[in-house]
Amino acid sequence: MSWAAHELESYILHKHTKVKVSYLAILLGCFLPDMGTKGTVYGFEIGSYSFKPESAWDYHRGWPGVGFTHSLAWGVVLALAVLLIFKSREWALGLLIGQWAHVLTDCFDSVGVMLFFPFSEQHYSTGMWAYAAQEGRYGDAAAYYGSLGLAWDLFWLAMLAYNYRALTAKYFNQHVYPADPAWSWLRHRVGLSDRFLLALYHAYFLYGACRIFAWTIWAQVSEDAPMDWKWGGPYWVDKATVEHPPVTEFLANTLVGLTGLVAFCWVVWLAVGRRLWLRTPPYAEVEFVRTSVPRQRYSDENTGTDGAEDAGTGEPGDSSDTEPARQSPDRA
Amino acid sequence: MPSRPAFLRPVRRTRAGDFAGYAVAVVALVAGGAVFTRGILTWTRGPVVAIAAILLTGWAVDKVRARRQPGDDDGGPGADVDGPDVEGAGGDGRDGEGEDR
Repeated sequence: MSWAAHELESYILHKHTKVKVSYLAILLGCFLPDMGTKGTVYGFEIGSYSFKPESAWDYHRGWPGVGFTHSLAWGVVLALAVLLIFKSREWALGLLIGQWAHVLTDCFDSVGVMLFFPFSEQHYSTGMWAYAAQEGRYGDAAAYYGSLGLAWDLFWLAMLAYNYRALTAKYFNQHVYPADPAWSWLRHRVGLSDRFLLALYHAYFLYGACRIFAWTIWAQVSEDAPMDWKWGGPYWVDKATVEHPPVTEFLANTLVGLTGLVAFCWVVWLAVGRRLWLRTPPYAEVEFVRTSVPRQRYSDENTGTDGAEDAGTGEPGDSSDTEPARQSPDRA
Repeated sequence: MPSRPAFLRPVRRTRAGDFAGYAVAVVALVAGGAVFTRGILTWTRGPVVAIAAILLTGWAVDKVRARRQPGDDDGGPGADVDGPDVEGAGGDGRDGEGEDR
């Protein structure tokens, strides 16, 4: 599994998505597959009750288990649910992008993911570093940051450094804030300061970037874990792998899975998705505009003619020279 | 709105306060993370540590600067503005860097 890559990729994805999309949704999508599963993969204890899966990788990435959370179809289901319940295009699309990014990023360890589940249970993996969740959280951390997993995280950090504009306050103000009603809600309803909002936006970048170095220092200094830069390392961990079928079977599985996924997306789009999408208007932030129109003159000009508009019954666009129809919540 | 702790109240951001806040956050996450590992490095605690460091340090630095330069309106508690009404926030197209709000 990838570690800091999941946080860092969210900023890059938002910057390179050409349509209006919620950053928070991308971030949530990047976390969702592991959110409810990682704790159980490592095992936990509550009082006398303890849970630890017999085969961590099979439970985490396989079926039966929670491997379906690491499939592309699951992202589509989640996005549709968000579109249906929360009626937000920006959140539905963001969640889909984030979840798919997580799934594709996890293809790089030695177990990989079932990309096309439930249409195929074929695992897709490049085997770049060892999957070691069966060693527990600390064993997994030491193995990941003692192998090419570290290089993978540093690659994403370098990508983000190249796209540093995605981290500026200007980018936040111009592209992140206006694309998501959640920011406005946090600012106006919860009353968070601008510094708080910007810190919130940067929090997962700081956390992601810093934990690369923190875990690496910990692994090298405290655990004395040897660094192994070989493909599929580190050599010192008992890594989990999946058996790869012959090429013909692999291609057949891929064809079945890809066809199933495309057909599923198409049917879902025609049956529900398109209707929900069209019913959901894109989010448009309406700014409050201060005006200095003298009250007396304004009332003289509109006496007896635009009374209905003044009472708020006209179309929102009609009163654009004075105030937008929707005011910011704190002004209302 | 009920009174909030001073470091949560909206103030005009300053470049010095921001810089100090982010620097402390990085040190806390890297050094604290290497020592306490899971005590800090989880997807819930890590970001909370970062945000707390930025807010508390930024607030403290701005306060110290305001005491040293009482005439300077930028960035002290004396420069408090009405939070949600701060100009420049939320997609107004302004630059947004440094003392932008």
